[in-house]
Amino acid sequence: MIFRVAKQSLLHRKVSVMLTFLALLVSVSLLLSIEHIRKEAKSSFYRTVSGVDLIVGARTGQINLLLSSVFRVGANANSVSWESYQSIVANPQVEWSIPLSLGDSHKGFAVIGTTNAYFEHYRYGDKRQLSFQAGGRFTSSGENGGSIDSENGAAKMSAVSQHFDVVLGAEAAKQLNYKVGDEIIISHGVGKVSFSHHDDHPFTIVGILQFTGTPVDQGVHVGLNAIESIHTQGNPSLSKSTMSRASSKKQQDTEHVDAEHEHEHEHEHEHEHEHEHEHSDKAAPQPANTPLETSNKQDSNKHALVQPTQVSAFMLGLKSRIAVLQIQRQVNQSKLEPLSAIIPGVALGELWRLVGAVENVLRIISAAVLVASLLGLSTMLLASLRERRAEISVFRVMGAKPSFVFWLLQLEALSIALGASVFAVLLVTGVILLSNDWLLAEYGLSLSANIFSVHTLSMIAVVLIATFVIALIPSIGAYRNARSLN
Amino acid sequence: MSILKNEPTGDDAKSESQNHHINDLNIANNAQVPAVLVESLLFSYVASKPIIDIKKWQLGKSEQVFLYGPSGCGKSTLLNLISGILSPREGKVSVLGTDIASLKTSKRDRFRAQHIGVVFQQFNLVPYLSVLDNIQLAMHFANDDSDKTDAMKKESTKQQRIASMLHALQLPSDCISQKASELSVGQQQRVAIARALINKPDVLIVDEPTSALDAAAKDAFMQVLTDTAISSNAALIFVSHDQSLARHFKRVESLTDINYTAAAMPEPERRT
Repeated sequence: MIFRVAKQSLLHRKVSVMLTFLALLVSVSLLLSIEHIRKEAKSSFYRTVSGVDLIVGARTGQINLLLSSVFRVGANANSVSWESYQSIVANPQVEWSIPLSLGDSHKGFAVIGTTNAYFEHYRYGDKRQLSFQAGGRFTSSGENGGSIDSENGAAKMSAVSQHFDVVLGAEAAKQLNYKVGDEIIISHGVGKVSFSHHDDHPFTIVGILQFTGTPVDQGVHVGLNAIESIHTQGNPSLSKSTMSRASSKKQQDTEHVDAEHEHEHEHEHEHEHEHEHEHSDKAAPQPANTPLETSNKQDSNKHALVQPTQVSAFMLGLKSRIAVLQIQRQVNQSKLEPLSAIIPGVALGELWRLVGAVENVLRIISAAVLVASLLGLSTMLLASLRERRAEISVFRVMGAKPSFVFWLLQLEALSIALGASVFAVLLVTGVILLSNDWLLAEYGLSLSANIFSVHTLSMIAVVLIATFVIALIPSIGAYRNARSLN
Repeated sequence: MSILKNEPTGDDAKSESQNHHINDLNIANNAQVPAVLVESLLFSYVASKPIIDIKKWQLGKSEQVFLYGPSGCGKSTLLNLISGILSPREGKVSVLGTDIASLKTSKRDRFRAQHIGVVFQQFNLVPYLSVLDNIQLAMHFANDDSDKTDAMKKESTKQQRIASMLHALQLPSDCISQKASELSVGQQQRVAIARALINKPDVLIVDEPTSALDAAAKDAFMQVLTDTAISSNAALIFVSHDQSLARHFKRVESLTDINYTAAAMPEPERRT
């Protein structure tokens, strides 16, 4: 009977009930979506990289190294020599390694020089491997830039028709509208506008990765040697920037402009020579266990294959997790050159503490939204209490207990709150489902449409409990009213 | 006389027997127990200013009384004391031999719902509920949970009882599904009577029910009210300041005659 009365009572006050319902619906939806986005942001942040035990780079702070190697934000001014890389990788505890050469860009997308080990061992999310939506990994020749155009390969010593393989991240492929088989030009520097285009080094897209929701999506992956090759030949002036391209971007750009003028070429050559000298002693012959597979075609085109002299950073997978700290210490104390080794999880945690303030802001916002809407609810209930005084006395006249009046008001308030919560869940789920494609396309955001979780349920429980507590004010008022009637 | 209500005291005695054994014995054994008995009643909202001071007043079963008096003489207060909404400071108010004030709150609510019907000047019905729901709600409040078989029996005849009650009150049969707020004031008051009588109360208290009605409607209403009260076997306390309604009653009393404070009060008021 009380349900029937509550229903009729709510229907009777359609307008104010609808307004309260809408206010609660909006705020609960906001609350749920903010909380959902907050959780998704945090989890996608932590999902950026997984299964990597250590990231090694030239000595720097762990956040710097994490940002440059995983998030491709900023760049480490220093590199790791190939020699150091090889010596660390030679450690029996190391199961696999992914070398990374960073700092170049293609139309605003970061170019990552790496090897097939990247597609083999890189993990994100729940230890998920990268997979291809089209094409596949670097071909053995394309990885090293060893493929030559038979017609003029020998004729042109500057290796005009070398082919390099490119694997695109999903987002990069989507935005640039590239597909497998397309030939692209890779430019220098990390800016979107670059003055140096290596028109003489066509890159062929051999694969496009599946969407991952991580910075991998924005990546343009090429062979490690490809990067070395561009930098050391064709446009020799650019080789210098391999060393210090991020630290002296301005200088670089000027150089690039200069480089376009043929008559200044000689001048640039001197730079290159300096550079070569500097590193000639570090260029070690490739050991047998290198993850780079050298093509046997390299001999036929001596310019095509350039031995990598350095990498920006590399990721390590160890045979045993117990060895992580040991290797980390070894790397950090390396005598060859100053290096840093970071544990991704630890660095991610530290970085999240930095950007995590956003999380707290979101929490505060959602709490404020909830409080505002609950105040609205209690206002509506209190206002209706005045006009219900007569009605309450009628209930008493009819023989209703004061508790009936109390529970009637509570039932009305709770059903509004419950209805609003249920609709909010449906609304948020619907909006996420509908906007998922758009969010993915526009912002690269992949939100799980499943907002059901213990967390969501507990939030709804909090809403209902808060409603109950707030509705106590008018309900107890009505109860008292009912006690001292007439 | 007892068409609508054949053995209400028997029913009630059963449901109340566990808690009010002695009182129920009184009801069962002594048919002469008055419907309402007021003894040495003293009540005041403020300690220094008593509003009700009644030595002894009683109302027999099925008896109908017209109580009149100027406003402020304690009419509504007396009605609230009889219905147990207010508790006396001194003395006793017994309804069917039960001292209402001695009952616990929840028992008192139940007792009131089962034995006393009240109709006020206005606000007798929940405006957004249908006539049927209003009456059923009153039945629901009076319904004793320990009385399951009776409740089921009632369920089968509920609609019929409500319909015949509305018919007796000369209400159109199609008004049963209408919302209370959609009825005319006169119709609302009749539905209020139906709602008050549906639980077969022993006492029907009616407080200025006609003030919103015109003269013709008043007479019709009074006729229906007294007839229905008689056929429901309920004692009727009718309170009004309008003495023209007195002709519908055999027993007419001025509250100022019973209530000593009320008798004394107008004097100082006149002086000032």
